[in-house]
Order: sequence, then structure tokens, then C-alpha cells
Amino acid sequence: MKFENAKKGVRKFIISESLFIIATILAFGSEIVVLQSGTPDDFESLVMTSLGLFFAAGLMTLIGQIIQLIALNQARKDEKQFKTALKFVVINLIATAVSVLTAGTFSNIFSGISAVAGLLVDVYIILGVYCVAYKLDYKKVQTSGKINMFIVAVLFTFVIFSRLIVIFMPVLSETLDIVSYTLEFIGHLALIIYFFQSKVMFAETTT
Amino acid sequence: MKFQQYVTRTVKTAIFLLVVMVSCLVLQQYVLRNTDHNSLRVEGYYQEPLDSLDVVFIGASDIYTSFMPGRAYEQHGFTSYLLASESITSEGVKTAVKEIVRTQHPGLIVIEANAFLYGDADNETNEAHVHKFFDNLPFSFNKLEYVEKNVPVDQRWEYLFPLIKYHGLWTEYPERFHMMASNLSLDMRGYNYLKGFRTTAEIYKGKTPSLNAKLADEKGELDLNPKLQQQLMDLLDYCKEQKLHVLFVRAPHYVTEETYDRVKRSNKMASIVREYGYSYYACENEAVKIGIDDKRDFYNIDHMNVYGALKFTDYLAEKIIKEEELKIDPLRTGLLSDWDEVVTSTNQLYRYCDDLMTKGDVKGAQEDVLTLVSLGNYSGETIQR
Amino acid sequence: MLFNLTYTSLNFLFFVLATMLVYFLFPAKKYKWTVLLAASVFFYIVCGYKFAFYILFTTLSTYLIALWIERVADKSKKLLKEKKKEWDRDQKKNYKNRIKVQKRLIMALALVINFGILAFLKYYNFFAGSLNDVLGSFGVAFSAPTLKLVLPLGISFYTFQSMGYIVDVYREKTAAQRNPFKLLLFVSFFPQIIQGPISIYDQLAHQLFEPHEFSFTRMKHGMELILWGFFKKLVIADRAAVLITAVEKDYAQYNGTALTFTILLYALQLYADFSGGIDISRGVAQIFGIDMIDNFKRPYFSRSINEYWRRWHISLGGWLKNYLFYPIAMSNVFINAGKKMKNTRFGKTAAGAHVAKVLPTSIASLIVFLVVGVWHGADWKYVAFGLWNGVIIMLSILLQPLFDGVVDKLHIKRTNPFFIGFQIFRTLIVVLVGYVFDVAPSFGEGMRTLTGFFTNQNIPQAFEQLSKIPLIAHDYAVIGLGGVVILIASLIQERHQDTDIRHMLDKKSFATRFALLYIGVMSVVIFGIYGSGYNAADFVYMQF
Repeated sequence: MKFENAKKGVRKFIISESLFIIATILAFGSEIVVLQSGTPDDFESLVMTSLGLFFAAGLMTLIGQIIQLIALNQARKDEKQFKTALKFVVINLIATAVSVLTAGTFSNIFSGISAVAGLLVDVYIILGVYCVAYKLDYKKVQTSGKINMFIVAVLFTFVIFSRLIVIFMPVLSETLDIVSYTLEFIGHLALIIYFFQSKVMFAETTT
Repeated sequence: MKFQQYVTRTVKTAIFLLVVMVSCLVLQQYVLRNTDHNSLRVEGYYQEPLDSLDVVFIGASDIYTSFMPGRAYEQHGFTSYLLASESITSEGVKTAVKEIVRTQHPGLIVIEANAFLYGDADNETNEAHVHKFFDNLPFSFNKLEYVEKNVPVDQRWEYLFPLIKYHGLWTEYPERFHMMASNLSLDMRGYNYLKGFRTTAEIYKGKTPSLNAKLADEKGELDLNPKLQQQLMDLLDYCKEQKLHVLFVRAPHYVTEETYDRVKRSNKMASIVREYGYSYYACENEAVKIGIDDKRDFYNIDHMNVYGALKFTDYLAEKIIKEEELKIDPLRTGLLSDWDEVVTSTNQLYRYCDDLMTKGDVKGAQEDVLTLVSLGNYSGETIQR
Repeated sequence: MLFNLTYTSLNFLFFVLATMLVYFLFPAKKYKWTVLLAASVFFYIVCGYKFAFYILFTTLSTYLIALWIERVADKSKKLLKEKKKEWDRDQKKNYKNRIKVQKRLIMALALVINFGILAFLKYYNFFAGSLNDVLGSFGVAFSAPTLKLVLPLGISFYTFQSMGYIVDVYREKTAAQRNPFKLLLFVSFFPQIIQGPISIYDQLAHQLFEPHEFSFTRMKHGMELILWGFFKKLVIADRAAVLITAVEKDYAQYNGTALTFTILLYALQLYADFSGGIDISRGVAQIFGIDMIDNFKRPYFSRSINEYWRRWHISLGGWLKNYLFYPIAMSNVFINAGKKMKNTRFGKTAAGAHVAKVLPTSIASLIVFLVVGVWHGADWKYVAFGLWNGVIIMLSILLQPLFDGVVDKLHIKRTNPFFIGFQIFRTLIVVLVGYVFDVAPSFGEGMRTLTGFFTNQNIPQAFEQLSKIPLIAHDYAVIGLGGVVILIASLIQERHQDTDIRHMLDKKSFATRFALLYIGVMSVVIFGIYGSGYNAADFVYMQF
């Protein structure tokens, strides 16, 4: 079994994850700027900087998701979990678009769907790589897959939890966003390490 | 593969639960909900951007039928919102003040006195009046505090999840469809065109003559209901503690012998409020001074129509600017066009109601899709008095 | 109630969730059953703390008496072993008989005390009232006082269940439980305390005391069963109850057509309510790894009244069969009566031989159904209900050869669908006649209703009468659709008797399962009768 498609897909995942990490750093920076207390004159420039960083983060995320889409489209030929991940990427993109174009509760609902779909994309990508590692009997990547799944579960729980807290304490919104971005950063790092391990796995097992 | 099975099962279960939860949320928010003008008004408040309001009005129908935020902005440049609900209780007023402290930081909070002027405390436990306000509040500690303090244990779930109470409303479709559409369009749009104003196009032809002419000289006082007075004191203590700039107001009414006691209670309330160092505008007593025409400016004994509301808005807005030294924050660029739309819509609404009243048609006019569609036929130019 | 923990409340779901978490995370596997005990005790205290004394008394008396019976039995066996060579056959037989009598007396003590409490609380006022009526009709001045008595929660169910246990210990089918707390758990297990099913000790106890690990499949099946129970109870039963309750309140006002419709609706409502509650109980128990007996097996598909009572309230039928029917039917009195009849002239004929053979069973059936009727309530109408069923069964047993002869003479194939349909329809009519006495406020009104079926039919008038009841067209549509859903599910289950419908659902695609379960949940959310503004009817059998 060669899993050439999965191998190529994983290479692209590394690129998309790198872009997601950059996006997370930019979003993080945007929140830090928002939290800066400036004079009323500084306010406009702070807002512009924050918006700029946020826009850049959005752009990185979008490019990353497109690369992820391509990667999944390729990898799904070798493992069906990637097909499920692909479905969730599409759902994520649609939900994000609807959330951005609308307002109020309607927007919040779709923003929530988008967040959940995003996490499920990660879950199924991890699972897809895990399944390939299982078929190749590569224990290291299997173990790493379980650890990554645990990290995603923690992230998931935190995202749900913070969305509930923010209802009662909107003043904590920015702080929770920062914690969320930090956890996301850790999550992306863990994922990238996982993909590099998978790359090694493919190199060792499919030559 | 056990791990794969474990993950896919967990994910499928989680997705199912989330889909059910979201469905219930959507049903609760848009479909199986007792949506009326109160819902649109209260929800619209929470869509206002942070720190974008100079004044927030709290009260019952007395205030949301008599003050036009669009007119006030057009004439005096301050932004305002009517966080009001039909026959709001005194507890509702307190919670509204706390919500304003939590979500906006207006330069002035104006409280219409109605909630404290009842002869008894029955309104406090009127389920319909309580639900009309509290059902539309989002989750917050203030809401939880109210529920814990005032709601019997077996009804608490309904206050936290109104779907439990209103899920039976599916039997009332398609009649409710237009209000559902109004709710959805408000949410999608993200702001309220009329900032809570509502009216009825009707001219009240009272058989009993109005006593408004003699109110200016009325100094008599009548004690407030003890429970309501205590609520008022608690509210005043809270406002002092939070260092809020608060103003109390009593809107004009078509006063008759039957409702005269309320005027005296209003005088009593004015004394109490002034003792605390807050202002009380007894506009009901100044109806003549404001120029309210008893034969034209009311649609029933408790509420003014657009003719009366225009006069009252101009009067009160000017008084607020002059006497309360209101600090008007400059609007953020993105909001200027929204408020221009508010002004246009308010003027269109005035003309729409004027047209209906001239023809002798009686109709309610508020922030719903049917009314908003009708406004398109009318000019949004400034109303000249 | 301290706060609402009825099976269809949100509080109950949270209570089950909390119990689940504690149970499955409990570190000491050997003592997991204590979690169920604590939950059951908590449930009983919240729902009926004022009457906790009764269930504790029943448990304690059952515990002590079972141990006593077992001690007598063990002692006698020990003595017999010792005296094996010393005593002759007659001595051993006499001794065994003495021990049997002694055990029986001890068992009778438990039965008399506990059934006595049940009988007093449930039937004292009925008998006092009836006695007063009789004495009054003879002009006697004496009147027995009526008392303000309230039934403790689940008394009928836990009394029957614990007395079944006592009889099993007496029969040496099961060993006496040495741990009183384990016995308390068996008696008070919270999913079944309100309305059963009535479990046999051997079947339930080991499941309660064995530790169970979390199983996703069991939890899924349990939740599906709970959902099905919620659907039947909240969407159909509670909605239909609005009409039933309204008619019961003003019974005399309704004509024959209206009452016919009410009885038909009652058939659906009673089944949906009772089986819905049982499904919730079984679903909750299943989550904890405990399989409780299914109390209903599509009873309206029965082809005879006998079969109906094997499909309806199965656990009660099973209990009565084991502990009342067999002891009566196989008692010397009845067997000897049958033998005596066989020796008569009539008994020597073919018909007589048959009657002699089935006499014990038919009379035992009559007695059993008299008890069933009385168990349902303290009123003459319930006695009539029980007698009606008992007489039908008795006659069906006695006249079986006649019916068989007619069918054979007409060359009717017993597997012919039309014949089966006829049998089902016939059985349904008999059942509905019985239901008349359930719904009617009194025996007299019940009889009036039966005659009214033939003499008082007027559809337009019935429409007018029923339109005053606060049920709108939407409600009838929901009840109708709900009934169709139950019918379809029942037909599927009837066709595939070897497998549960949930296992069949497991084999479907994820999308199909998701859609069906989603529709189920949303149906309950949207169409369920719950929240203020509705008076959710208590479970019908909760009154027992």
C-alpha cells in the first residue's frame, strides 16, 4: 500500500497549518491592539491597526482553507475520513460566509456552526492520518494522533465554554479570545508536528 | 479499530446534540416565540453598538408611544433608545437599569414613572407583563438574579428557556408569520429603524372631558403603594451607588376623574425622587404648556398618537439638552447613515399615521415588516410644526 | 413533592444524567449498586417523603420474614439430614408437612401485613362507603367513618414486587437477601417505582447488584427508548387526556357518538400513557445496564382476550399467574372439584369432560381478573371491569371446543388474514367495552354508555358537544398522526418479533438514523404537552 494521495495531501496540510499559525498570530495581535487603552485620538488608529491585522488573519485563514480543501480532495482517494473532513470544510466556509454577511443572533448561530465545523475538520484530518498510520502499522503516529485528538477535544470544550461565559460577562470577550487564540496556536503547533511525523512515516514506509 | 469507532461515535453524538440544540435555539428565537413589538424593541436595544447611545429611556407604553428617538436625533443630535415594555413592572425597571449599566454607558437614563404609580402591586405578578420584558432579555446575571428572586421554582425553566412556555404557538401560524419575519429581518439587518417607538393611528374621542387643564396647579400627593415605593427607593439607592445620571419623567395622559389618583401619586413620587437629588419632569402636569391638544393628540386615555408624540419629543428633548447638560458623544462614522435612516423612517411613520388618521383608519404602527413596507410610500423629510 | 421529578420533566432528565455520571465514575465497582440505592432513596424522598415510612416498613418486614422463612427451611433440612436414618418415611413426611405449614404461616404473615396495608389505604373508604349505602338502604342508622387516606407513591407496585419475592423465598426459588439495603434497592429502584413493571426478584436483583460498565450502544438504545416514551406520553397521551378528562368531568352531557369517540381515543391514550411511561422506565434502566421486562407487546393486535392479557401489563399478568392463578388452579380444592365433575353424568360427555378439565383454570381466571379489576381502583365500576374480562376469558376457555368446531365446519383457515382481522377486531370490541367502565364515573353510567352505543348516536350533536373541549383541529391532527406512527412502529415490530426495532434502526445509514431521531426529538419539543399553560397529565398508573 503506497498511499501516494494521502502523502501529497499531508504535505499540503503542512502548508495550510503554517498559514493557520500565522493567521492565529495575526488575530492574537489584533486582540492585543484592541486591549490597548489609548487616548480618544489614538482610538481611530488603534482600530485601523486592529482591523488591518484581523483582515490579514482572515486572508491567511482563507488561503489556508483553500489549500486544505485541495489537500483533502486529494487525500480522500486513499482514506474516507478525509472525505468527511472535506464536507466539514465546505460547511465551515458556507457558515462563515453567512455569519459575516448577517448580524445578530442569526450571525452568532452560524458563527458557532463555523467554529464547530472547523474543529471537526481537524478531528477528521487527524483521524484520517491515524487510520493510514494504523494500516501502515506505524505506532508513533498513532500515539501522536491520540494526543492531537485530546488537544482538539480540550479546544472544543473551551470554545463552547467561552461562548457561554461571554454571554454573562461580555467584558471578558477579548480576554477569552486571547486564551482561545493561544490554545489554537498550541493546537496548530501540535498538528504541524503530527503532520511532519506523518511525512516521516510515509518516507519510511512507502519507499 | 477501536479508536476510530470511539472518535466517530463521539463526533456523531456531539453533532446530533448540537444540531438539536441549534434547532431549538432557532425555534426559540424566531419561530415558537411570542414575538410582538415588545420583542422587537427589547432585542433591538441589544443590537445597538457599545457606547453609541447618549440617552436610554426606560418605562412602559407611556414612553414608547410618546418619545421619538429619530425626531430627537434630527432636532438635537443626541442618540437615544426606548428600552421599554408594555406595563413593565418596577422589577423590570430595575433590571433594565442594570442592563444599561452592563451594556451601554449613556450620558443619561430617563425613567418613565408608570411602573411605580399603580394603586396596588398586582402588576408586579402579572405574568403577561413580566414575560413581555423578561422573555426578550438575553442571558445575563441580571436576568438570572430576577428569576431567582421573583419566579416560583416550577416556572424558572420557562424564563430561562422560553421555548418551554411557547412551543405550543405552532398552532397559531400562519397568523404569526409576519411577526416572525419582522424578528428575522431585524436580526439580519442588525439595527432597529424606529429605536423602539410605536404608535396607533387613531384620534381618541373621549366622552369624559380631560382634566389636563387643571393639572398645572395640582400639588396634591397620594402615597405610593408601599411595595412599589420600596422598589423605587431601592432603584434610587442603586442609581446613587452606580453614580448614574438619571432623570424621571411622567408623560402626558388624557387624565380623567378615574385616573386622577395617578397624578397625585406622580407628585408624591416627584417629592421622593427630588429628595434623592434627581430631577423629575412632571410633563403630565405640563400638558397644556407642551401644547398637547386633548381632542387631537391622544389615541386612548393612556397614550398619545404621533401628533402628541411629536410635541412631547420636541419639548422633552430640548429640556434634556438645556437642563441636564447632556454630553453628546460624536457618532462613529459607520453609524451616521444608520441614524439618518432612523430619522427618515420616523418622519415617514409620522406621515403614514397622519394619512391614516385623516382617512379615519385605525391601525397600529411599529417596527414590523408590514408597517415598514407601507412607509416606503411616504416622504422622509423633516416634519415642520 | 419537594420539586418536580416526574418522568417527563427536565429535572428528571438531569437527575438521571447526574446519577449516570456518579454511577459510571464510581471507583468501587463492588459498591456501584449503592449509587442506585442513593438515587432511588433520593427520588422517593423528593416525590413522596411523607410516606417513606410505608416503603421502609414493607422492606423491613419483607427482609426479616424472608430470612425467617429461610432459617426455618434451613433448620428443617439440617434436622432431616440428621434424622435421616432415625426417622421412618411417615415421620419424615409429617415433619415436612409441619414445616411447610409453618413456612406458609410465616409467609402469610408477610402477605397479610403488607397487602393489608395496601388494602386498607386503597379500599377502606370504598368498602365503608359501600357498607353505608347498603345499611342505608335497609334503614340502618350506623355509618362507617370515611378517612382521609392518601396512597404512598408506588405502593401497589412495590407491594406486589416484594410479596412476589417473599413467595419465591418460600418456594425456595431464590435465596433470601441478607443485605437489607440491597433489598431496599430492589423494592425502591427509581425507574420502576411509579408505575412498574413489577419485576421478579431473580430476574432483576442480580442486574441491580452487579456492576455495569458504560456501554455506548446500551446508552444509545436506552435514550431511543426514552425518546419513544416521551413521544407517546407527551405528544399523544397528554394531548388526548384533555378530551378524556373533560368528558369524565361532565359525563352525562355527552351522547353515544361522543362517548364512542371518547372510548376510542381513550384506548389510544391509555396505551400511549402507560406504555410511554414504561418505555421511559426501561430506557433509564437500560442505560445503567439493567433490562426490565417489557410490559406491552402491541396488545391491540391480540386475537383473543387471553392473548390481550398476555400482551397488556405483562408484568402484572405474570405476577398474578405465578402467585395467584397457579396456586388457585393447582390447589386441591379445584383439582378435586374437577375430578368430582368428571365422575358425574355430565362429566362423562365430551363437553362435560372438557368442562371438568378446564374448570380449575376457568374459575381461577375469573378470580384473577376480579383481583385485576379491584387492583385498578376502589369502585364498583372496576369490579365490573374485572368481572367483564374474567367472564369473557372463562367463557372462552369453557367454550373453546365449540368455537373450534364452528371454525372447522366453516372451513376457515386460521392463518387467513381476514379471519385474523376478524379476531383482532372482535378482541378490540371486548377490550373497548371494558374501557367503558374505566372512563365512566360509575357502574350505572357505564351501563348507560353501553346502551347508548346503540340508541344514542347523533354525529352533529356529538361534534357540537366535543367542540366545547379545548382541543383544536391541530391537536386532533397531531393525535391522529401520532397514532399512525405508533401503528407503523407496532406493525414493523409485530412482523419482526425476534429483533428489537432499535436493532433494526442500527443497521440503517447514519443519515436515516439521524433524520428519524431528529424528527422524534423535535416532535416532542414542538408538539409535546409540557410547561405552564398545559397541565401535563400525571401518568395514569401513577395513582397505583
